[in-house]
Amino acid sequence: MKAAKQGICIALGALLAAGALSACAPKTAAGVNPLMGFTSYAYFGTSCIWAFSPASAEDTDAEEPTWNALKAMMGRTEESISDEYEQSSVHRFNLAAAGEEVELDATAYKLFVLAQEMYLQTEGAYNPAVGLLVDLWGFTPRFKAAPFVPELPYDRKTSDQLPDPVYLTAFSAPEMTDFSAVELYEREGKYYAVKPASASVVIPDAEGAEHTYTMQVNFGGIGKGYCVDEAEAIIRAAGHKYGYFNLGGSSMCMLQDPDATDEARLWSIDVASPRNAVFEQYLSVREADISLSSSGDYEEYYITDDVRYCHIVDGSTGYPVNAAPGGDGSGIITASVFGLTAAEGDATTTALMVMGREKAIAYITEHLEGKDVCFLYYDASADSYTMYTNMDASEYTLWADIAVSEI
Amino acid sequence: MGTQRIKLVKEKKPFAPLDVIVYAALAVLVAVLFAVFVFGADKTPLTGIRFVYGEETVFTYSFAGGASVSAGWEDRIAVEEEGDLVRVTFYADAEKTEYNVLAIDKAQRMAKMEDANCSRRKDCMYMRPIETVSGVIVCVPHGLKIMALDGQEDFSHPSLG
Repeated sequence: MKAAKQGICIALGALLAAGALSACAPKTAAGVNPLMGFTSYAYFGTSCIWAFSPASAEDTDAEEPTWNALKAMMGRTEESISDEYEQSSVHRFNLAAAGEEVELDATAYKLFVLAQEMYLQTEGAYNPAVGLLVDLWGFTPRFKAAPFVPELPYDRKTSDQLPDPVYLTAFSAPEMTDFSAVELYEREGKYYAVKPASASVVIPDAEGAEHTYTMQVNFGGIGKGYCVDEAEAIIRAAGHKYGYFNLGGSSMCMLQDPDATDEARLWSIDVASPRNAVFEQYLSVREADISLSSSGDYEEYYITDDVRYCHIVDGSTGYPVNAAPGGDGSGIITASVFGLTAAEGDATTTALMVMGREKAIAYITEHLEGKDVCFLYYDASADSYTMYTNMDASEYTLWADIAVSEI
Repeated sequence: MGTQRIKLVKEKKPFAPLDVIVYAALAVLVAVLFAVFVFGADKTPLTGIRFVYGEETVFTYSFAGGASVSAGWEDRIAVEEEGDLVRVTFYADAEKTEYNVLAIDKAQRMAKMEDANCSRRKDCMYMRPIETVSGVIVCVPHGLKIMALDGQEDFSHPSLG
């Protein structure tokens, strides 16, 4: 009886305490305010999310200056490296004649240099000089217009056609895609790139008029990663310890999870499934204070005659990954890297997909020691999926019913 | 002394009737709280819909109060009602060439993207209809986000890819 009375008292006490707590502003496990966030769709044609724990739950406007700084940084970067902007360094480089020197702004120069390092380290698997091929396959922003109106000689008239082999061969020729041949240098405080003199080809159109094409670069992926790295610096400089910044879904920097109860305040991060419905995940990883990158053949693609053509193009074949003639559609369909800078990670995940399974495993072993990596391999002959990873099983939760192979 | 106390406890019934009632009440309380917090939020029915463009709410529709176009957006948002169906056309550009059409079903209390010319893939038309306060439809090319009138975005589950 006495125990019962004590139980009633404890229960009532607990309810009163819970009521009192809920009347106050709720705090997270870390003792800070719950996450809130800003979202924008104004940059790089994709979504951007900054989630943070505000210093004051009552005055969230205090975070506006940081959000404005993030947006200004993304705007500057896009104006520097997007081919859509006529004054951008990349647009001017792409329009330049072979052998021409082009002045770059500081952001574009940094990206050219980093991209060249990644090109060399991945032995050309990461190659930004596939700009013409990406356009030929229909994955540049102009193809998103509806209705799409063909305007260039190589544009296909109907969406079920594949690119003209003449252009495919010409645009994937080694001299058109050798990014290591781009000269980069600084002179008197200004930055320059010289387009290789041999990176040029002349192709007559259907009416016989000749058109000259030169090397074009596309920094779509690595550019978003660069923004994420810059964003992390801005967010940390503003004093934030919790939250994350996500650009396009494929590049993120994680700070800490204010709701986590472990010492490192690890996030549980869902990794999107490349073959299931939108927003479903095949994997969750636990990470904090780290940058993440992911590439996949599911972000932008179309299927023609049962072949999936995605936006990641292999400069050595001219074809989207896993779609080159002679293949059966087997290959890496998504790759993720945790622990590099976001820009390096974006280049690396793209490169892993281009490398294919065996080269990717060798590259991870040789170059990515200490970094968490995983990729999904699709075996078309068996219609089966295998996740390859160097992560310990305790570091992730696999949601899909698939085989795992340790690297 | 210790042995005597153990004996005394053993002699008592492990659960007096009132104890059982208290424990059962606590178990019910835990179950109810669990159900409310885990399942309750997602099933909260819609009270309405709002359109967020950039960072601005440009249109709201309340099942109780009807449609409301924010000031300055009157030329870019058109509303048509036909029985239980409300069609909201949002134009993403001043020339009215880029559009999304959201169909709100008043009887079913749900909303889905019915039409759009945002891109060839039109991903927004294949997103799940909004049926609860946690539902969201996003049209990235047009920069339009449609969410529940009382909905708050959940930032606690980051997703990569």
